[in-house]
Amino acid sequence: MKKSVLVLSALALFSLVGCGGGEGTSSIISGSDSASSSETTSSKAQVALASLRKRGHTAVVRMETTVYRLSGDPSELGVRIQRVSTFKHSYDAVRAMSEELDAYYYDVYLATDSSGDPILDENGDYTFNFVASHSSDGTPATYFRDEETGTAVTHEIDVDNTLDVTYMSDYDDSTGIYSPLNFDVVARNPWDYIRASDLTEDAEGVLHLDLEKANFLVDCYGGSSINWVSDAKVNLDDEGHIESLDIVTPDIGEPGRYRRATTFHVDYSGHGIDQVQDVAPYENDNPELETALACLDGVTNFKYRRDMYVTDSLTGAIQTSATIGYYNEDLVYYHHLYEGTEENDEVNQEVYEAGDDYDYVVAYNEEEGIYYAYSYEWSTFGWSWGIVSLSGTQPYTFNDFSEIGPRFNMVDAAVFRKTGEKTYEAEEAVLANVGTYFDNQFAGVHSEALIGGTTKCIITVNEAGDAIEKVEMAFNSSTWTYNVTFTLSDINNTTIPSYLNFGE
Amino acid sequence: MSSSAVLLAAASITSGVYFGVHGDSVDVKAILDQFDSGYHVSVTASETTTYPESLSGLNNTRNYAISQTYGWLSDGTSRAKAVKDADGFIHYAGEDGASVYDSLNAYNEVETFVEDYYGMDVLYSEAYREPWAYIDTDDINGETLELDRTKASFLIESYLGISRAVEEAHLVVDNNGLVTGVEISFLDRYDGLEVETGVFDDVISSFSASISYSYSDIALDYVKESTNSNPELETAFTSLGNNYTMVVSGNQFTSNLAYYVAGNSIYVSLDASLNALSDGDMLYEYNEASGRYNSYTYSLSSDTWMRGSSSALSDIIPEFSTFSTAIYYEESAGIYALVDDAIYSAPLAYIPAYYDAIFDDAIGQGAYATLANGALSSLATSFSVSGIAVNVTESFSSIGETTLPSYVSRG
Repeated sequence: MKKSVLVLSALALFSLVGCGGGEGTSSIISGSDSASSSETTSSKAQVALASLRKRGHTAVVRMETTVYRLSGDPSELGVRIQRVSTFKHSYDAVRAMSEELDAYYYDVYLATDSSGDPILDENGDYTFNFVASHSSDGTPATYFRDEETGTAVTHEIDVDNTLDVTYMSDYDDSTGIYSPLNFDVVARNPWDYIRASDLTEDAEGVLHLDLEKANFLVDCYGGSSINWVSDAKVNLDDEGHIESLDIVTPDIGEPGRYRRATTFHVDYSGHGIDQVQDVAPYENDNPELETALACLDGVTNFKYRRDMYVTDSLTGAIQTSATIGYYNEDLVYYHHLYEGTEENDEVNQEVYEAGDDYDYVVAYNEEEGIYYAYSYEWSTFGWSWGIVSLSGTQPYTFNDFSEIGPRFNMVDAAVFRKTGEKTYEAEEAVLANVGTYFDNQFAGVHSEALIGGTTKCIITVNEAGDAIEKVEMAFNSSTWTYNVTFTLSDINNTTIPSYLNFGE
Repeated sequence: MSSSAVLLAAASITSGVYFGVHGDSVDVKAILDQFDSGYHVSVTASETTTYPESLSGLNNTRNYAISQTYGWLSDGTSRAKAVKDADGFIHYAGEDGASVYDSLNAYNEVETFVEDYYGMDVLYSEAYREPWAYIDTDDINGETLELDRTKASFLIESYLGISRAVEEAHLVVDNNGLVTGVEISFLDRYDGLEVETGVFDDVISSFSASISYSYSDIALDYVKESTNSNPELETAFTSLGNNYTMVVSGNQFTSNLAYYVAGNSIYVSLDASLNALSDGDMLYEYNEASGRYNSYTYSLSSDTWMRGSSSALSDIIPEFSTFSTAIYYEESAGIYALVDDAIYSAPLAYIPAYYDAIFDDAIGQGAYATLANGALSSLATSFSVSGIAVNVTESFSSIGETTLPSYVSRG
């Protein structure tokens, strides 16, 4: 729900702001404008409003916008967007709002028969086919109000177990300036802007929200594509709290061209109870893990194996692979194993030459004092080691040994909870970002999905309790699920395989 | 982060007091009721951006100002929220929520215009939101008159479209209990200028604003047909009939056009200063059979008139004799000005179709009709075209005596 801050001229027609209202105020026309604040408002309205105004709660917003193309041309696509958003507002020690979004997108095709003619329903109206073209799980976001600046900030726990506060900002590419966003624009609770007198009771005792305020509410919940509101029925629970909101939005469009239909409904729960969860540094006391995470400090000799098990949720396809990293201060060798074989099998006693993956070497150049990366690939002159380039002729280099392998010594032991005698699992607040620290920095999984997308991270410490034995991780990318296991061994006892032909 | 406490009050509110300061209390509900009834607000604001010293040449200040009246329009059976802007336009919500305003056209008819921005309808509830309707009694401390910071920020956002964090805000109330202003101090905003990847310098944005309120002369009315009577002007318009000469000049035009309206023939010279045909000159001849005018365009290179499509008279020249003169008032002897309600729409009707492309998005600003010896001497109109002031003067002569110039002949 990131909003833009727009600077407008003094007499501009617009005030384009968050919760700027929806699309219309029929009450203004009909004369059912909101009652003056001096008018007596029903106790029902007051109780209802008090259940959500400046009070913690959860709102689940379901909205749908469908644009039908009515030209009769099957090539003209309509679109349907369904969104379910969960907003949670907090008024505890700190004002906060969290938002979790699920969105589904469909292309809307005019239904046609084999001749290409539109298929009509019993009323003579066009019919449509809906084809899901994309769906996504939204990323949950939580915004806190920084009381000192009034801006919206996010709280995250870094892998070093410190609280990271980040300002939400708007970027102006004409000036190159990032401007912090005002919390009160980014994360409005629309009910804070509604009066009891905006809730009027009909003959059946049902409350209806003033239409201007209803449009404002729709906009606060991200419903900018929703048609103008013609009615907003407020449903109450047994305690008189607002339980749900039924928004009525008449279709709009042009005959023969298009029709836009929208729906909007909100369910409320957790009145005065639900609160946005803040994060704080963890207090897990894991001395053994602390030692294990530091097991490679100052160490330049070890073996780090990576096993991957990848499944495609769509096709069920499975891929497996294994790579062993032989780390030595002057040379690191990544040896790709033939599928289904083990390190000591004869087939693996030579540099990998299957072509679907490569063996790599990172070697120290004494003259220049830096490391260069090489890959073993087929070229015109047969299999040979060639320099790995970043782009064009820029070689892939490293200034220091510590830039090559895993860097889990940067991870604080307190961000893991002990789940077994020797196992530790990453806490929720750091899980998404922790995976990359266990990956090789060169020739690793190297997936962006590991940064922010780690879904599992379990560490097993060795029997002696002084080093990591293995790390089991998982992440998703597209339809693929990656399960990755890193195994650490032979610290200060690793030799580079004799079959390695690098430098010959 | 430091803050800039900028407390500004309009001159009209300097006599106001914080009731609560002395232990008094005000009726907050009455204050909100007052705002619900309608008010006039003037807001001036200033936004100063200060760059790091090495870039101090980029420092700048941007000023904002609005002056508008929030109130109600009533047709006797229902009422609608409305806003009168500094130019006198009254905006209200149309049937589908789009912001509309009314204006009298050249025929003294009320026309309703839907406001749009780059082709999208402007929503009244967004563009002209009345912010006090979103403020409740618990947002104001009746003792200290402190306004909730979030709602104070909302005030500025609604009036100016600018979102700024507020440090503190207090209502200023006069001895009659009316809010005459809001004193607001804003927090400085520390923006980040990325001077190199991942390296930011502070750019400090300071904001100050003055809000003042008044409650007199706030009645709003729907635009109604004018009932002015200007018999002399009416005679002058109708006397033009279908015989007169009109020279059109304008501050943004490179040459003046001359229209020779001679009964069934109309000759348009693209250069009124020439006493000869010029390339592109147009000739219109009335065709009784079709009731339209056949058109011809002069080609200098071939010295011929080329036939074009036929046109209705209104597509050639305004039919002045059909326009209403009730939308004028006599400003001084022989000089008539458009009434305010007509300045948006009516002036465009006075401009010949030849200029349509130029005046596509023109906003009328006014018109003056000048009489000389009872005859229409000139019609001066003004417009805003994409923010540029365009003034057009149509000078009339040879009324009832106009013939085509002798050099105009199709052979």
